[in-house]
Amino acid sequence: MPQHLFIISFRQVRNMKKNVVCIVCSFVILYLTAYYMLRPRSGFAEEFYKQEKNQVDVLFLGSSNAYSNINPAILWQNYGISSFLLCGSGQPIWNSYYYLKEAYKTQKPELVVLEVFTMAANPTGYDELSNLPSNILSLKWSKDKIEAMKVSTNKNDFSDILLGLPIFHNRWSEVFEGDIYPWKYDECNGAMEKGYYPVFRFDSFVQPEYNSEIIQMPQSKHTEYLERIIELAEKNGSQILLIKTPYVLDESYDAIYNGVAEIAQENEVTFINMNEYTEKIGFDFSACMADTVHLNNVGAELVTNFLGGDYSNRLCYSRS
Amino acid sequence: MLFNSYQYFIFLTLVVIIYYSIPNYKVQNIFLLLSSYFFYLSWNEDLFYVIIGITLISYLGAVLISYVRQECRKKIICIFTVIVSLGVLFVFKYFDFFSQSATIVYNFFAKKKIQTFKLNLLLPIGLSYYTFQAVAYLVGVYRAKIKVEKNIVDYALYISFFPHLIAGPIERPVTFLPQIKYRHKFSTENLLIGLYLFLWGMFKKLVIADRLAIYINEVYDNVTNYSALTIICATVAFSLQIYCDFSGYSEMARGTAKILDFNLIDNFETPYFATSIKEFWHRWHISLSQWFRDYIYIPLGGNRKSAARTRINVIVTFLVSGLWHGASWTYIIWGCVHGIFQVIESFIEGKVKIENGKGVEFAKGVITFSLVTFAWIFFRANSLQDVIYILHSFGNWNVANFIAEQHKMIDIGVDAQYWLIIIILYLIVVINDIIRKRMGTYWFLNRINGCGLVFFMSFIYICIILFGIYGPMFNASAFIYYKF
Repeated sequence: MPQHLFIISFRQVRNMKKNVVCIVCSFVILYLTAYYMLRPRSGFAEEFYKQEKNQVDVLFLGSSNAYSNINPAILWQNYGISSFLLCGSGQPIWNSYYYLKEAYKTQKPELVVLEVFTMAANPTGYDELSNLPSNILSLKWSKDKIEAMKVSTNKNDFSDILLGLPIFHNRWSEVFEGDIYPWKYDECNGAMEKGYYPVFRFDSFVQPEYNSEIIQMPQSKHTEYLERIIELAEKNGSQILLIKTPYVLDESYDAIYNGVAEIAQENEVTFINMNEYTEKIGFDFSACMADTVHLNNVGAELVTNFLGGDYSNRLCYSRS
Repeated sequence: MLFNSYQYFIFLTLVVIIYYSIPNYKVQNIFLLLSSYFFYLSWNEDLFYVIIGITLISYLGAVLISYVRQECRKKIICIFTVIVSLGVLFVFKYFDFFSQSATIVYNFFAKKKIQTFKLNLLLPIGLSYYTFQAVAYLVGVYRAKIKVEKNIVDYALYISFFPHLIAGPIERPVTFLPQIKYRHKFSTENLLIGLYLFLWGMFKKLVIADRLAIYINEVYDNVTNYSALTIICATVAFSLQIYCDFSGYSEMARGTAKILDFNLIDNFETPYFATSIKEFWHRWHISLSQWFRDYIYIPLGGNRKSAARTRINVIVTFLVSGLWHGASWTYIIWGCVHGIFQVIESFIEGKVKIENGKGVEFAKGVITFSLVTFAWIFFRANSLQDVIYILHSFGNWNVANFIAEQHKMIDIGVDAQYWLIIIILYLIVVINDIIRKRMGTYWFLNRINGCGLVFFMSFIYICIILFGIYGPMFNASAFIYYKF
């Protein structure tokens, strides 16, 4: 036997089988503990699960263009409408679809409002990895969650998303007490309770000229899931409204949102591009924007009042 | 299919389940061979014919050697098959390099500009390793040190056994072939030892080596942006990275083999505790060092001839070793530097007598580590120009630049926390190495009890899942020695 081919043995380890079982159990427990403690607590889905059954009458879906641009407190205060923003950063349309599916498990919204910003974004057809925690990982485990993972990632990353820790294991340095004892923090995030994430800074812009002439159809995956959302909402007896909150972007975005308008028309649903209605809203691009696509709290109030006021009939619900 | 991938875990689990449920060892070997080819195909679908070709050439060569009675004919067949096997390696790995070098020399002297003729072939993964195994087998049969293996399945399995196929260890037929002559039965102890080795290797690779790679790659890929002190830090870090990377890979290979009831050679024996360059090479990449000793150094005459000839033999052996690592002048110089170090070392040993003591041993250890680390500059540098820049930069030790450069590194995640994690976790490797060096290679494993083992493995496991560099946010870095 050559010098370096020693036969290793665990001489002092009795009952090998028992130890293998102990090691496997220990690995599973450690994994689940790490998963539980490190998983990002994005707020949206977690807050949604806390809502009482059948209490959400208007459900908003979409990206930060929804959760920072619409204020559910104003809808409630001024119009008596109970709403929730079930959104996520950069939420692609296919995630909106699975969020809607998840929502129907506990809620029966009369109106579903979809903010379509990401119809013109996300050219890869997959989620940005940094957005996965808020868009998928906070969902409860179900067949739908796994399907959502499949459509959101390329094949190579799927196993990482499924296991979770490969995505967020390096969060150990930013874990705070609420990650370990979430029950202590149940009442936090006053604004987030309904999914609203207000922005208080402002940036000044010149009002963009909206070009309604050019049309570009969104990518097929976006279109497919938009149609699936419309179908799902109709199947569950909800009305659907597509919106695009005010933005300062180039014409290529106008073109795609015009394409969305065409899809909406084909499916007999309403699409409101608010860049066409800025006068009616009273929207001032020099005071109401936080950046090119996010509104500050003032802008959000105007947009919400526009939705709740002029379209209260469409929202079709008023708690008198 | 990297060892540290989910696909590999699934593959290994299936292989283990099916392998142990086969009642006959011959069928077990066929299954293991097919599994190894499947593993290889996951890397190199287009170049699969190369491993088949090398296997057939060396198999037939050895069979012919065993049939032929005349010594000179045996020799001719052996030389022919070795040349063909190494020729394949040359064509795939070295042709373009030598062609380019020859063109540069020709253009320089002829004062012309002719284009380099290049084959631009992809290097089949693991070629350097399995070619050397084939050569070891052919020479072993020729020297009548081992019996010819007439069962082609068993021989092909020796060449392509998947745990050592991609980056070694370079197994000897004398240790491997006897292990495939009986039916392997599942043993919980083997599973436990295999899991332990695999986990320990993974810890070294994912937690230490890949974490260090962030800093090292930044410095060495943009070497002109950094000053001497930062380059020195990166080079010391590279010493640790390459050790943890390659020894980690070797442990994972041994762990996999152990689960399948095979014992592979231990490739590393606390190399950075060596007190001389010669000792370092007895402890570093042992299977390769032994191969070069047996098939290059000794056939050249070893130390049986004059002192001058011995020194030349040492330098030639290391030069070839450098070339084996890569078709680049940086590797060749790295090999030469090690050869020169050894020659100087043997010269000093002959002239100066130093009394042994703890302090002397420590000083020798520090000097050896420094020399090895210095040589890694040539190994890691991306080009000769980078090497020249690095050596030139050593004339300028600017501490202020060093501090400013470390601040810039925070952007890529190299901050105080990064270094703290590395230092604390590398200490575990150091403690393990100290125990191996002082108490014996398997002292720890032989004495640990069940509770200790569960605790230690759980600790290593949690370090991997928390501090390991993995997941889609990181670029999966292959093992450094895969490219050789």
